Amino acid sequence: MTRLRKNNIEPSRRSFLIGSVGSGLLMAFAPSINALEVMTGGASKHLAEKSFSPTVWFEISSEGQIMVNIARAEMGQHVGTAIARIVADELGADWNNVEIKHVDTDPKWGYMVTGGSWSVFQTYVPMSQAGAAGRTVLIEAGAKLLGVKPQDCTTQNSEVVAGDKSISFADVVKNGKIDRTFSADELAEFKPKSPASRQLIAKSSQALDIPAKTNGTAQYGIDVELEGMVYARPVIPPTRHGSVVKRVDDSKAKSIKGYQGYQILKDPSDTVQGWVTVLADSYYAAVKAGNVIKVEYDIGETANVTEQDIINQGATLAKDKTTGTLVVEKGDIAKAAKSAKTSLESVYKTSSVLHFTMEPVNAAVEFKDGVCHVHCGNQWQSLFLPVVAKAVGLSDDNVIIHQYYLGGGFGRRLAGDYMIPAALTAQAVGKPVKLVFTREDDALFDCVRSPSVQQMNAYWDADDKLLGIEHGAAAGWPTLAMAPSFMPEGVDKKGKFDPFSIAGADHWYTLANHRVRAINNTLAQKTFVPGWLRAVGPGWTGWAVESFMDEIAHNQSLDPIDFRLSLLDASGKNAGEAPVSVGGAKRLAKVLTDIRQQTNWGQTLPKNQGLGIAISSGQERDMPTWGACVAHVEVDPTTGKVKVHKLTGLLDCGTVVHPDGALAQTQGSMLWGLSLALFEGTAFEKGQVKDTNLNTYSPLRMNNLPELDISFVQNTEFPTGLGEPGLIAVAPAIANAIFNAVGARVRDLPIRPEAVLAAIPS
Amino acid sequence: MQIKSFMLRAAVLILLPGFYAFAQTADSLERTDSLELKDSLERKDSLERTNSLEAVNSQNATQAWNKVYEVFSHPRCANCHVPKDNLPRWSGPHYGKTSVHGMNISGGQSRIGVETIMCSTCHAQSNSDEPHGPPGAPVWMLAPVEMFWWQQSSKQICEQIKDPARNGGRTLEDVAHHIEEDELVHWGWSPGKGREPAPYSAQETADFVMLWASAGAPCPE
Amino acid sequence: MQLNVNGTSHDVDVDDEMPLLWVLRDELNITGPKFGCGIAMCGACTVHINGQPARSCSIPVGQVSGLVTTIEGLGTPDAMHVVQAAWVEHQVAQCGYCQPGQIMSAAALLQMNPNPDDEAIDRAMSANLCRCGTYPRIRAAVKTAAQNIREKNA
Repeated sequence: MTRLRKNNIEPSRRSFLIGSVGSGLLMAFAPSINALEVMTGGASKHLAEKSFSPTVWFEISSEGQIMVNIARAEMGQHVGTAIARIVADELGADWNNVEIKHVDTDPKWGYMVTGGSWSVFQTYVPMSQAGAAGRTVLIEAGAKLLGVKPQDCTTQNSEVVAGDKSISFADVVKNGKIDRTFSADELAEFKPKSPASRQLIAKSSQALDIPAKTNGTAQYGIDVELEGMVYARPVIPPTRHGSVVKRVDDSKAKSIKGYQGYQILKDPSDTVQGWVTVLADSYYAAVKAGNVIKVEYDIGETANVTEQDIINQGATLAKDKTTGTLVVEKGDIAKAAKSAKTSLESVYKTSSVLHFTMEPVNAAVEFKDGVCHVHCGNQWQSLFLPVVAKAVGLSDDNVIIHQYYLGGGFGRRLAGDYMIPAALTAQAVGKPVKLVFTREDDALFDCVRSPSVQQMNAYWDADDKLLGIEHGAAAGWPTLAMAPSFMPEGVDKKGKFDPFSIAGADHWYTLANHRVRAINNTLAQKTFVPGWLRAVGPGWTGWAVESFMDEIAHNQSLDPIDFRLSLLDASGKNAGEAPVSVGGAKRLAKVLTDIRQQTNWGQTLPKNQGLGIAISSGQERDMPTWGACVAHVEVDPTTGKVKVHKLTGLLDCGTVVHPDGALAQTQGSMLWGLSLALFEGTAFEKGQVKDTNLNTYSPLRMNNLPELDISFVQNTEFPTGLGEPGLIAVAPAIANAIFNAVGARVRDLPIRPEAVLAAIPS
Repeated sequence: MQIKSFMLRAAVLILLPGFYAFAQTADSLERTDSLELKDSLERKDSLERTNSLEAVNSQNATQAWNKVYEVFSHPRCANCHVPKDNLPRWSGPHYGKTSVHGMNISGGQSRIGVETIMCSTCHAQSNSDEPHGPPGAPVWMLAPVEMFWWQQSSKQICEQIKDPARNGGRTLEDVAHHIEEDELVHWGWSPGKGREPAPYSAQETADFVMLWASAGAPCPE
Repeated sequence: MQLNVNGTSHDVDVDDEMPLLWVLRDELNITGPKFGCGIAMCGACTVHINGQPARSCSIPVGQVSGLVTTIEGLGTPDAMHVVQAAWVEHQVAQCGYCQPGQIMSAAALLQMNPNPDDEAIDRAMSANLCRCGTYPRIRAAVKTAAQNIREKNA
């Protein structure tokens, strides 16, 4: 994670150009080429020639409209609104004049990835500086036009103001010839506005993308229509890897009106193996043809793998303490184990989970003048653009991915694998092709969240002093499957690991002896492409850590909150670092203390009801969002069915840039956590997931919506991410509440009524 | 439900012109003259057919009833003859044990879902072609609540089907005729891809009813 | 065949069995109704036929008789339907993909039952799946829309 972010953080060492272009004013980060060239050429010239390389840039028209261009995927987080508000606040813009535009993958926009809850975190400082630079230039030009000194001017509501004189941004743009370059050092001089002087950040506002999403005009990838295009549907082979098409019999498809034949795909990128796509002049006909076409395969080796096989391998690996890569190695856990008087061992499991984005994956592809144009919604264009290029035999700069709204991301669209069969089919037939996966196709091709098995061991000395904890986590690794170059070395330098699949195990509790092993489940890795799914690793490491902390507390007859607080002393590496994790574990202790008060922890509840607590620290130690969740549940002791009455969430994400967006993200992530805790989960059967549609896959619906009480710690610290962290503590809080309600300790996700029933002590 | 009952009735009449006798609940039992005429004509036919059947003894009657019960208690029938919870059920090889619809659907007191979401929102006039797609028939609805069969014993259903207060005011000949004629009832034997049809056929089931009726329609103890 | 969508009559030449959804999206380029599950279980494709809600993915176009209304015809960007206005007021949409269906379902519910309680809202709206977790806002927006309708009618 560290490498990924450091490589790709928004331009911190770039100069910034501001210049009149046409009738408007354009502002953009310069490419990281030598500054001299920029200086000699002049900002306006470079901007006019578009020889700049901004990740985000913005322009002010002569009418005063401010267009902020966003290279981030919009998938429900209103990311454009959050980023535009940072710029607009620093500019002193009237929010009513601000518009956003999501751009395509022209290399000049820089590296494109939207995930990890990073967008606001990464863009906060550079966008603040860009806005501040813009304000400086507008003031300089405005002051000249007003005949006043720049230092006497401020900006507000899209005007440069000096005492009782003012001039609108529009008039400044119209009348001033502006040509100005800020060096990286000059740019770094700008500090974000003080909290007290902010006009937009942390204030309520309406998201700019919502009206279009309410009146049917928002355009998603699946809505793309290309001139002369053919519709296609894939035939998903029986295994994810290694199947080879032997024979195709489409005799039954031939009578379907509009059927246009099939293609056997040859994929030099090896993303799709053993694939056939069926073509028709309507998607309906393509679906019908896909239902009746018969494909014979040489079937890949994982054709008979079951969920239990994968879990068994995980359990064996997690139990064997010599396996895996060391991610945390503090003290000497082996010595602690040897000297321990008492110990506790628990094994936690999570089952396969589908992304099930509402919009099934799809892509429309057209080859024009030697360029492959891919139209779809995607979160990580820069990852799969080279794969598309390889598949179709073009250089990277001859592939452009055009961005649309995403009908759900949740990590599914970090993988762009669905572009490949569309591109290959379009290339093969020589026509534009729109390939749409049916829901069943989408489920079978999903990069599911891997099943996981985690073994936890705790050790105590003769005085009941906790000596330490050992944690082994086995799962399929998305980063190994799709972006192996981002895998860092373990602390023992004996191998690499997927940071996203183990984050959260390196928690903020202070332990004298602590070892974490990240273990790759090789059978999972072979059977499917493991995917990043909302919250990724913390979605399962949090399940084990927070359930186990609860077990330890109860084992020692300690209050689960008191026990946690005793380990959150913010000492050593848990002290935190300015600016991002300033305060360290102290901030976690604060949310825990506050939520105890807020939920009247310790209150007497009716029989079979209970409260449970869990905490989380976001996606990674480099970007902690401090959180706690208290679940109030009721268990039916005759059926084991769990009803969640209420979820209380308290989060400290530093400055809340877009408060309503933050609340929405947290509502969404907590409900996703609830859905994972009680309602979702599938299983591999014969090498594929067994649930492919809503007849058996049953995500949370409104009838199981609990009361939600969500709040944010009010402070002005560095803003961290919010797209995922709300999810992490929900499942363990529910499990811990179930224990408090009926004494049943459940260790498998999802929590099934049968498991609860079996765990209720007789 | 805070919806007014006149609205329900109005909605039912406006929305479903084909909403006929079988569908009518206790508070809306008016039949049109033409339907009555058609009914009585056809009843005559089926009586003649019954008379041609050999006299049956009580053992045959019990066997006939058992077959009727097999049909009535089959998920294709019983899943929509549900108790006053008004919740349609579904079941099948992929669904685990029989349960309520996964989307929290209620037929409401109207039994066609008018209070919240109409059955016809998802159920068209014919079966969907897609695996697990919604089945359909010209009028899709729950049976009136008094015709409750789901998880009921043979004796309970037997007593209900004979009781005009709970069978839509029908004679057993009417019941047999209804089985022969009603399109939604017929759906039970052609339920679409991936669903097990009810046993026997509509005609056989109607014949079993008549056989059983002609022997005095005994109910199991 | 003739198909009237949002007040405009269209001549369409398709198989009677083609689901209405694909006629709207692929033949008429009316893309507000969304494809989600294809089996009427997610609700993203919901439209109105003669004012009644229908899952357009599961009704063959040959069975459609009467007026079809999609999200595009419920209100316009400049003159939103009362339900759409409530959706904006509560900032409901996240990814937005399910929202056309949610809004069409809510509008149909309120037409039949202008004063739904929580249970009625849950019953009607549970049939529309949302993965982003906008349920609390949907519930609130339905109540606001209901109140606005009642006040308008009072």
